[in-house]
Amino acid sequence: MPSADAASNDPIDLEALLSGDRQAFALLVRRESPRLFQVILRIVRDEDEARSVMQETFLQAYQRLATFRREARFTTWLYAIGINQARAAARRLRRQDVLDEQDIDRLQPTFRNGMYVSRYQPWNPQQAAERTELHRLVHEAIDRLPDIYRTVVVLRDLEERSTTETAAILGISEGAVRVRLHRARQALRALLSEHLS
Amino acid sequence: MKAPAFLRRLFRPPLSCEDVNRFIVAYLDDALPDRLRARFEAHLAHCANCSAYLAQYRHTIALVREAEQLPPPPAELADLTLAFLQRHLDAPPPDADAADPS
Ligand SMILES: [Zn+2]
Repeated sequence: MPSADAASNDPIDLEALLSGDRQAFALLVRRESPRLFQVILRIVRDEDEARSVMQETFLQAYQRLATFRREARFTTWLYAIGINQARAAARRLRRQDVLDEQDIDRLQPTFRNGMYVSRYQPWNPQQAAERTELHRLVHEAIDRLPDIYRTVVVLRDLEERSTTETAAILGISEGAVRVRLHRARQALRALLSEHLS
Repeated sequence: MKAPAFLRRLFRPPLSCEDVNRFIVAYLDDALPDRLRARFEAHLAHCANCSAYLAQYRHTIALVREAEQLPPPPAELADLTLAFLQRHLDAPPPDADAADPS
């Protein structure tokens, strides 16, 4: 009888999973729940909502097993379902002052003759607001990102997924992942800059 | 692998600050071709403004990671999900597509 630990290292039998085998699916739920919950929570930013989005994600995945195309990894497909649902939930719960595309544009650095218009200095951590206060500011800045930018930051900078996997999960090109990530980071930099310069 | 001489010449013009900015994501992903990375770093070495901007950019990523640390998810998460699935999958299906004959 394998221990729970050993079971969690066994590869999941994809054929059993795709045939709707409940045990294989239960193993998938056990293995992927913690990580998937974390990603969803980072997008919806509410624990109860994240739990219900995750449960709905596994239910949909089970009911749609027949639509899985083998070009992607199974977990990529699962995350795509979860992130779609999380983004929909985040839009339902969205705060009033979410930035729009023009705001994101405005927060990008500007150039003249190939050079930055502004002068920059490295931020001095000594001058930073108190740590918890700083974390609150960062959290708030992330909250204000439009959900597609926030999702890319979550997958790339927090979950540390590769550009390739992020592109597969979101169904966009790798170039689009890089562009959105860059725009999001630059917008966050600009939002934080007034507190750190 | 060394690029042919004509390619190396082609890649020689100095990068502008704007070019450097465009390559930041690939640079931090360690995804720039060697030659381009060398030019990127050569620009940074003598451009204080680009260096400072990149330092702020990295600092932003580090702060995001630091501020968004999460406690481990509740231990009963998987059990709750399995119970949820059982309730929904064993309930009479809302439509024929969702039927599970097992
Ligand atoms: Zn420069």
